[in-house]
Amino acid sequence: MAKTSRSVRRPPPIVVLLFVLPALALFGVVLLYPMASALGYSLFEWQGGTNLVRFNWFHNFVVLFTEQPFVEQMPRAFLHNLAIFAGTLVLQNSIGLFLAVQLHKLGPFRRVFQVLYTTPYLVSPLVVGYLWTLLLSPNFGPINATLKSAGLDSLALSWLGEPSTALPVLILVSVWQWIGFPVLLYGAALGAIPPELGDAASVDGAGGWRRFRHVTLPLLTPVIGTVSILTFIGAMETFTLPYAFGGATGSPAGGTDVLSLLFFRVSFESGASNALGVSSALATLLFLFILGGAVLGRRLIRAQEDRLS
Amino acid sequence: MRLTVWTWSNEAATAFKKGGIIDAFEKAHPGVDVEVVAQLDKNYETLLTTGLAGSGSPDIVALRSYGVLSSFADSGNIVPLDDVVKDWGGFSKAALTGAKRKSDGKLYAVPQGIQTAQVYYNKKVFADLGLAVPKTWDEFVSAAQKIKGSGVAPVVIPGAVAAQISLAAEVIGNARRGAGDFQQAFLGGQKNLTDPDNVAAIGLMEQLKPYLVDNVTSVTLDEAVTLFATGKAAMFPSGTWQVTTFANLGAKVDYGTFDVPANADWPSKSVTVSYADGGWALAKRSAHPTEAAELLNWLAGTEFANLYANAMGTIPARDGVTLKNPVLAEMYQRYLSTPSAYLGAAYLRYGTPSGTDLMGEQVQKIWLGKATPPAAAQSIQTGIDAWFKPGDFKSE
Amino acid sequence: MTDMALASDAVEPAPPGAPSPARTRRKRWTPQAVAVGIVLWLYAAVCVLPLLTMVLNSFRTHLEIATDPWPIPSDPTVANYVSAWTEASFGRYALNSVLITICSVAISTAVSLPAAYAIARWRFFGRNALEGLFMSGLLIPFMLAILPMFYLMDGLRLIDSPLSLILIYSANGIPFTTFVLVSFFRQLPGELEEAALLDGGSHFTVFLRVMVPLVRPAIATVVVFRFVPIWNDFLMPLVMLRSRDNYTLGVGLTTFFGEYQNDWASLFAGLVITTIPLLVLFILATRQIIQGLTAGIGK
Repeated sequence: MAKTSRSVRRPPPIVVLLFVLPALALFGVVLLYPMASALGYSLFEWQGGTNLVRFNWFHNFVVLFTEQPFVEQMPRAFLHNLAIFAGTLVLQNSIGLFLAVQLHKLGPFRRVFQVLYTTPYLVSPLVVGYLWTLLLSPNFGPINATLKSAGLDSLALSWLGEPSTALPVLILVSVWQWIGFPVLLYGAALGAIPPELGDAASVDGAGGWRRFRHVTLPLLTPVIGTVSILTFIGAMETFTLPYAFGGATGSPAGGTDVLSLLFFRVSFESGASNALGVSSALATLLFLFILGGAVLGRRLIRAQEDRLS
Repeated sequence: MRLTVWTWSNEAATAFKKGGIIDAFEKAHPGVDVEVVAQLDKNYETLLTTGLAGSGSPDIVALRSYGVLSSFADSGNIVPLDDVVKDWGGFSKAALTGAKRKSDGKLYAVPQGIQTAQVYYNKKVFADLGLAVPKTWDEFVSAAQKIKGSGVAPVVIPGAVAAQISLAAEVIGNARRGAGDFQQAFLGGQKNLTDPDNVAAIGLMEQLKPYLVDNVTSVTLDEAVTLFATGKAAMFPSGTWQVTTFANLGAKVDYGTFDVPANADWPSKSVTVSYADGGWALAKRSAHPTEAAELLNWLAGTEFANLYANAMGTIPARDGVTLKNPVLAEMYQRYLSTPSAYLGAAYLRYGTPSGTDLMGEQVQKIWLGKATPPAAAQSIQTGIDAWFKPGDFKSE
Repeated sequence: MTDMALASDAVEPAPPGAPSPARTRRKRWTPQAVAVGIVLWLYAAVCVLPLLTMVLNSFRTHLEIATDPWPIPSDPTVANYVSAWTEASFGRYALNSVLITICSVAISTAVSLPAAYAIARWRFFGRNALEGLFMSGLLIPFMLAILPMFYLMDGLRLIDSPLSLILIYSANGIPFTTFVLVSFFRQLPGELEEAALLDGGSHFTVFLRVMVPLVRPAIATVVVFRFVPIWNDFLMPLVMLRSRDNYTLGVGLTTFFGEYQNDWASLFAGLVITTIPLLVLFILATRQIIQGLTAGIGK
């Protein structure tokens, strides 16, 4: 039996190669190579976007930590990214998991709901941003009009006009658009759990919540980890929605400014000559941070998996 | 053969096709087809960076004036036009300033047009309240007060959009700051943005706050246009382009325009805020440089200038143009007599952070009660100190 | 084959209205069930109502949309659809979108499946490094790579060719697809492969016949979630393509964004046109998910 196990787990190298090579080749040439050269741009000084001047060591990175606007705007944007991550993580996992579990119990209507919950994801994020801007407009938007006609004038806020509400709204709309992803993934994972496990537990006298907590949740840990890491990456790189809401400057008063908007302002909008070098340095820094976060996140999840299984 | 022209402006592409511009050129130049492609405005500079850098390059590209144009000139992917275009004589100095590379002062684009920025006002609202066009800033404020009393929002500004706030602040504050005299002192290094006159100019935006449309920091450009065009707001400081926008919206609004009037104790009289609004550049990798040069020379002439300014609704960059729209003609007249450059667009967009972005953000903070005019002025100055050096613009 | 039989029970058929034993014990209309039902429908309304305003707005004029908050068309017009279809040449663009999106998703799924399987189930030299490498592809801001990608495609002489987009999208799909599929392959019980190999199957047949069908729900999910961003993308086509004849639907939509003014009416009509195929695809895909759950294996 042990021998079989070994051959199952360790096929001949040629077989491994055949399985892995197509993806590796396509990925390496079309994605990795350009990405690596883009990161390399950060070590050079450039002129007018694409004209290489000279090797610049780490000077572009020094600029990020010593000069305006970065010393002021980078920490601010970074905190907003973290807030977006925290908000979406909590909401997506709680709402998403709740909906998925409820749908799993549901028979015939399950598909209807799955489709309905995923429709926001089907619309281009740029348009979603503009659509919500129209809906949330205090002057013409139906949301505030509804609130006012219901006598709830105090709730008819200037949603995207105040920093204190703009960021939460950004998080909510982002969750609104993406919720279908956790719902479907969790649904698929729940479907793969043998019902005998739950039945066995309930025969043992475990109630609904305890069964969920001790049987279902541990089995979902890998998928929750997947969703969380993707949420982390998405939140750190979010661009389209903040751009549609607050423009390149993260209106109002920088209240929705995020790192990719800063990147956009530096790289493509500015008349700065060395824009490519500094913006690449910013992107490299972001990449390293996300890499660190994702690796750490995976470690945590692995540890959790081992503990639970 | 076919020449490809890129622009960020859907409006311009439509003007070329439907305003008879392409037809006029093709008729005079048999054998040359012109295709004008409108690229997505919001990603235009991204698309240009790649578009000009390799094969399949367009022949002629529209570029935003000043900093963006200068930085593309630095890349070497567009070529100097001083000797390509034969006659620069008709262009105004202001238009040519926006077409130069900062470091060597060479011309890299044929100017497209000029935007003036002024206050649009609803004639009916003014007439109903017995108001005349204000002659001083104080009159402006008391007119706003009166309009507010009637239940109409006195002033609308697209307060969610940094660039639009900055433009509005320039319309309101240019004369208070000292217009051309301040500009010279600023470029010469004798004054900076923390100068009391500039602080007072920013202070006008604070003074306006009670007269602004509700929730101004959430108002988008589309929304501001609608508020004004449907009579919900009586005044709107904005650019020439709105003449076309109002018409496109299909709302019937009877409006006029004026420049913000100056008080007697201000350092400058009332002025017409203006800036160069883009130019046509020649791509280094154009496959048909000869024909492209021919087209550029035509774009620099009066036939095109007349067709384009009228089809687009813009102030011409050169002489010899008659504007048919009376509102535009009036703006043009004011521009000819009292022009003053939009400082932020003309000089503060050559690096990050851009002066106009900073201005937009700081004015939002003032409106949200999170900053004072002196602090805002200081903040903008600190921001541009990262790259702005007085004396860089010696040619002025 | 006892393990296989067990596994087929694991994905027990759930015909409508035939609840699993765990559920038969509960009464159907408990207050809790009613409350949950209400929450589910309310959330469905939250999802759909904003999109419904978009659909309704597509039958209104620009001025109506701008001035009246209630999206009920007073005088419905299809003029927006006519202008979206003709001015933005949506007919032509739809064909390109279908071709490019299907090819890209098919390629990235086809190459990612075996790679994800190998990473999840096998021990081999460099496995962790490989997984990390693929994952790193998820992490890099895509906008940063635009310039070098353009240079690469220019070097391959693929500017203005749809092939450039297919290559980029399929490569760009690999990190996400492997990332999701790896976690699903990992979940599967190990006895399955052993049993199949003992029955004389090769690694390929085990992979294709036994393992892939088991992750069909995950594949369907990945396909949907890769399909949508490609279908909606407008930036890469604008960077890589030159002739209008090659443009995609996402690019068509950008026609309605002006410098100073957006044409909301036509934009909404265009959106409805571009989103309907996605909706159809998605409904088909969810059926696939259910089928995957109920009838995927055990034959």
